[in-house]
Amino acid sequence: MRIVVCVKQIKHVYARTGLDPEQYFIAPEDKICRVNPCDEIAVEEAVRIREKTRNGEVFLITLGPITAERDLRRCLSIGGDRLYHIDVPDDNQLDSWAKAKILAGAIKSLQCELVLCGKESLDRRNGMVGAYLGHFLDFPFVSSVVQCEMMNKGRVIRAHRAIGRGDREVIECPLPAVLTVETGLNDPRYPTLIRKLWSMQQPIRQIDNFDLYGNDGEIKVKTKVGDVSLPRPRPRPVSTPDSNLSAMERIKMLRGGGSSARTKKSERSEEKIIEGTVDKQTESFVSFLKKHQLL
Amino acid sequence: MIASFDVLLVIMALAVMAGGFIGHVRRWKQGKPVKLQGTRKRRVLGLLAYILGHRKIMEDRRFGIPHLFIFWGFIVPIIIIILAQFSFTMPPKIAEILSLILDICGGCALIGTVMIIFCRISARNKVSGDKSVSHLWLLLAVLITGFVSEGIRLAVIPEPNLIGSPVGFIVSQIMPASPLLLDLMIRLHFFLVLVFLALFPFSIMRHILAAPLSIYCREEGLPGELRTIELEREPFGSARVEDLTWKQLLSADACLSCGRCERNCPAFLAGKPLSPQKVIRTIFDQMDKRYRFRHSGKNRETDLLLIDRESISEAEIWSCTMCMACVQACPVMVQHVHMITDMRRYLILSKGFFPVESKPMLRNLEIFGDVYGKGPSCRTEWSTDSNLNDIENYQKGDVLFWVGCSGAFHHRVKEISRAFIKIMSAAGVNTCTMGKQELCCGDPARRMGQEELFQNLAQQNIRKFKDYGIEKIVTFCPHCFNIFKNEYPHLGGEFEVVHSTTFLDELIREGKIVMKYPLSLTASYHDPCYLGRGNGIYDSPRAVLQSVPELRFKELSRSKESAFCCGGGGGRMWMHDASGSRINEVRSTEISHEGVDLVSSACPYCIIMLEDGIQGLEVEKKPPVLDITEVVARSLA
Repeated sequence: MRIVVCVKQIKHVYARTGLDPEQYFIAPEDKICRVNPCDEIAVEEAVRIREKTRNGEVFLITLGPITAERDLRRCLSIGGDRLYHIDVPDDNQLDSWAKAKILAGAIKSLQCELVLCGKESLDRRNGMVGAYLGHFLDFPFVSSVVQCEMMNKGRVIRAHRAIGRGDREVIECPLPAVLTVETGLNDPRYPTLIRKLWSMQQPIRQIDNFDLYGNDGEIKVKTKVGDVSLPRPRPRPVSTPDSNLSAMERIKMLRGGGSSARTKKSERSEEKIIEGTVDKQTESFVSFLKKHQLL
Repeated sequence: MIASFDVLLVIMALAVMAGGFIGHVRRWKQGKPVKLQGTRKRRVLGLLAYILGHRKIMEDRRFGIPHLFIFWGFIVPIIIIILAQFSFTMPPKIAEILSLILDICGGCALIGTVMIIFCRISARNKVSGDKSVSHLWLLLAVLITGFVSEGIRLAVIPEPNLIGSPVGFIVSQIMPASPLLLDLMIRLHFFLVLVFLALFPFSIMRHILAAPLSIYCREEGLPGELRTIELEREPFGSARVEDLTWKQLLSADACLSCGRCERNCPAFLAGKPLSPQKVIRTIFDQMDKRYRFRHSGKNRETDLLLIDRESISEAEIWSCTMCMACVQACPVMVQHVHMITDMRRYLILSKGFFPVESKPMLRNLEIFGDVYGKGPSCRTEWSTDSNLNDIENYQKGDVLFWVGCSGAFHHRVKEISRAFIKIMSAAGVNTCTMGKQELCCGDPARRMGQEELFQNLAQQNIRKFKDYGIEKIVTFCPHCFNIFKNEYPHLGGEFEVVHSTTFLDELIREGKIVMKYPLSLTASYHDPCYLGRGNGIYDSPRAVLQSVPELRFKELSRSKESAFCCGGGGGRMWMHDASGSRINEVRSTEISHEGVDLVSSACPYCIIMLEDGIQGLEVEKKPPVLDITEVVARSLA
């Protein structure tokens, strides 16, 4: 039984945002790339199914430039046998339909009985590639699987879907099928060092039987992303410090909980939050008052 | 004086003894090869200083004093008796003095034996481990028959020699003057001595071979340092006794179940399943069992695992905080921490088994390079000072201030980093930080056994240090300090590493820091494990505290070498407490009984753990917990 798992490499999405207005301030400063956590769970599920059926192969397939090679090989070391790569030059312009079409072409050439993917990726959160794959491969498709079992000597799969509020839907479908898995299905195992060393030696096999471009020379897509923006944060009442002060001093005031008098710009550098022992604070305070001729 | 039949008996006894000891040596040889450290001269001198000084053994007075008596009570008479077999004439005065020495030694040995039997039997209920005394009864019989023989001899041939043999003289008053009985007693004494000798390797006395050898082969480095392993092929770590080195098996053989490790182990005292003594005894038993299986002639294939339901359980291995109290207390230099780390390495690297609650921490280290999973771009959030020098502006002579994961991300430890920067700018020391290029030093990964992750992080850090030409690193976290100082050199990175307390001490003495404002409180100091036992730094933090004006220093009852761990080391900060009480609560209760106004420490883990512990106590006065740098910053001019 051959299982193919679609694995996506994503950039770290909770990083500090960047400074470039052209990129809508979303370019993350951290150049951390990793594999989508749902896809890791899919790999673990594929390995468990293979262990239960006692023979079989698990292939990993990834689309786009290789940015997270170490994490990808780590996924392979969880239990995969081979790693396939479809080198699409610029996958920012591709939409889910185009990606699924390319993936489906590659998966057809691999001739598998089960395709597993993550429910949605953390960066785009579209969740559509799995559904399109089911369509292009002409396989039954079940999404949001939180539990699955093989029945009838490996010819039927019974999947439990999470449909919200703790309810479950149990669906049986014959193989070959496409399943999308959700977090909560399993806890991926920690790979042993031997597997990690093995996976470092594995070749990344290329599949290049895809055609991106249509007859007019443009990339074949059904949708295009027009604009990405962050939502406006909800306003929260906060005591605003004196706007004459610089941002650093305002932050310090909010942190320290004090208030400072309106001073001339030349004296602004002397303002600080007084810390330390009681004696020290008293002395600093008294000298401050004397300096400003308040005593 | 000795008949030929007696010579035959002596040879037989010695042969049995030799055979038994050779069996022990063969058991150690099951382990992996390893080279001894240091020069031979240093090792021999170290061994002699240890044995003649008896200082480590005397740390526990109850067993140390009787051991001293028995030891000298045997060495001296053995030398004299062997010399006395050769017939040569001796002036009578010398002979009298020698006879007196013999008697005193015998008397000391007798007192010591009785004391040890008593202490070992009374320790049976309190401490686990095999507290056999059977061989000691034999020793007692040997000594008693010896004195009885001497008494009868003096009764038969009365020499008014109170000075020459005082004990013998006393015994001779109650003994009948019968030459036949004398002969019988001497025969019995001789026979008992031979049996005693022959049974050496099969009883508690086997330690006369294993213990000196274990001390001879001791580890040269500081206790805080772990052995770096190659990660090329299996086995990683130790799954079975044959994966341990012969030095480790030798030290397990030298263990006598004295129980000092257990009595000082914070996990054991807090009720957790770990007992260092049981770990070492299990290793010894497995070593013995495996040897016997292989040489039983039945050609049985064995697969004895160290970590098994019947031997050592995983819960025991993960309960260790790596505080080195057991290593410090052990009189025969058993390195419990190294063996537990080897077993952890096997569990993580070869099987992938570890407490599931620490998986997020390890995944964070793999993906983000820090234990909290916030990412490198958030590493500079702690400093409100925009003048902080970044590594890009590093000039030769600058000091690199290593902030560490807790110093950069933990809300409590960020204040220590800020206090340190304030002191540095007041002292006029040019510091810079790695800023966003800092990665975790790798200590949590290494202590949990994940060598591969540690070596990855370490090599990235070392490359960055070398690219920028860093020479001196100052840090306030003893775990980072220990790793940079003792473990990075094995991976190619040698730098001058200074802990913040040593650095502050130097600056105070040079006068660059002036502490003006008095803190009139009673303060105590909790020794961090990796600063104190791990690297021997006890004095500089105390010196810094003493130089704060009007601060009264009170030493805690368990401090310096016998300080009690806070419970945060060994990766335990990220693990649940499955059984027993919490180690930090035990220590906080102990500290609160001292009645101090301020608790200070020099380690972020200790600060976090002690603060949590003290907040949870039900006392009226909860002393605040401050780092040494914070205390200095408060008093700074």
